[in-house]
Amino acid sequence: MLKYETALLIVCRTINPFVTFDLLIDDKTPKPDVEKIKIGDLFFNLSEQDKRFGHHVVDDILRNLVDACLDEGFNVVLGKGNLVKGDYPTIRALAKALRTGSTPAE
Amino acid sequence: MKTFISLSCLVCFALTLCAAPFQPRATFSLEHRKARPPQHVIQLEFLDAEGEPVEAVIRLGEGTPLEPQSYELRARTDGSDSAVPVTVHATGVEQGYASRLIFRVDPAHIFSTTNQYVLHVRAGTLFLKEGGQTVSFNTGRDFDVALDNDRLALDQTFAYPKSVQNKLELLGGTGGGNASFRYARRFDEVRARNWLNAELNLKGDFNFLSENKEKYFNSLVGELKLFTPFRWNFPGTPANQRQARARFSEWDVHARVDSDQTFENADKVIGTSLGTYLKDPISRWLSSYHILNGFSKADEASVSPLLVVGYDYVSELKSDDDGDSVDKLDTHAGNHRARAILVWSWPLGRNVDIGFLGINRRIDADLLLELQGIYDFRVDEFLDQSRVSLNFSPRTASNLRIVYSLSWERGKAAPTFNDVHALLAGLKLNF
Repeated sequence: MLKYETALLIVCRTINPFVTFDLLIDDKTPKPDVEKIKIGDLFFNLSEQDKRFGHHVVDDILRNLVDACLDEGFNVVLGKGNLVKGDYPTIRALAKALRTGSTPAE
Repeated sequence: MKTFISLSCLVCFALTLCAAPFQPRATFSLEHRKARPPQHVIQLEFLDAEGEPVEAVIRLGEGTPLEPQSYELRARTDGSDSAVPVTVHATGVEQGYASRLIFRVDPAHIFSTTNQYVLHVRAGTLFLKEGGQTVSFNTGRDFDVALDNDRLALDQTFAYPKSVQNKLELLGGTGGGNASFRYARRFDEVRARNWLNAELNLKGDFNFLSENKEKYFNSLVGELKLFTPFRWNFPGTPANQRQARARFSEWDVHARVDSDQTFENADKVIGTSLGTYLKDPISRWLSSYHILNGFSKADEASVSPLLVVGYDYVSELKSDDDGDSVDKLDTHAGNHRARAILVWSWPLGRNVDIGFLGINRRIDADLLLELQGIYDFRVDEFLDQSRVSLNFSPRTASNLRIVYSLSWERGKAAPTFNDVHALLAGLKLNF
């Protein structure tokens, strides 16, 4: 299984450019208490802006999450629907979802 | 005595269900594997009381958790109910326990959002780790978990960029006989360049009734766009802060034809735009507190302000030159336009009690700010438009999101660029 600390760092790095406050101290250190931050509506709101301006932000986020897990040596199961429908309400839940959906890459 | 025993059994059964520490959730999802396009799968996971996925909870050695005959994926439409073959594997495995079960569907099955899919799990199949012991889930009975087609539809837009995503709506209401369509086709990594993508969009809103053609839903748009999303840093960013301080932008070059449905007025547009999510101290500070919750510290990540700047060359393809038609900006000789829009939704409050208004509901409140400006070089005119909306959305467990909106709008609105000063009240449904 992907390590929780690695999954948390991947989530923070990926969504940091789209949220108002900083989630990271530096490239390898998430801010304290960052896990409890709610992100249930974040991807829905980004998806609505994507539709309005013809952007592809949610696709880019999903691709970044997947590629970062592959770089760590793990396949993952995660859908665009899981993000936009708010299946994972906090940063911790999304990090756990990367972990629980991971298998070693062949 | 008999009644008492029956009641006791009922209460015990109810307590068993209520006390079940983990809730099963089955969803459509995507399986991403190296050197393969993502595949549609169904995942079965278990959630704790906080709605978070439980790790290493499914006992792999007990029951038959990885045998395909232990499960059935049912696809139901009007009058038919068929079983779809699946194969099963586990993810998030640690010390003989899996975190999720993943069901790969027979490739011969073509998913359709008109089907209602249900995952049926046979009795005695799943054993979960609960409080250090292994117990049969759902006290050893069969159970069904319904699947949500909205997730399937969203995944299809990601997994099959070359497939057609179309939409046809027939609408009644004012005017009657209205129809709209959307057709989108995306090409990822054009000519094997991983930074270059293309998208073709066709959309139209039109009316079948000749007397209404110029009143309602009167637009046809065709657009071809090349785009690239990218992350970047300001010069001088320290090496250990590159990802922590990365910014996101999406740049595109587009060519578009706008027409009315009778092809009497048409413009062509060639342009470019750059959208950037800002991380600025003002929105950071304002979104750190929920003012309607007594300035309590915000515990949600809200979306950064989005700034889109662009340039368009607009020229007229055809005009009916009707003196009675709406007053448009003249594009006869070709116009160069610079444009910018800033959008930000400021979260004002969450789970706010509005009982003092006599409404027994809790709501989320947001202030949506939109500032838009267009400068037309040929007519030397600046057209600005701004909108402030107060949005209230009641807290609900359902997927249906209702947003009540009170908006104030001013400026010159496209396409006629007539002056607008309006106070609007509305309702928006998202699902």
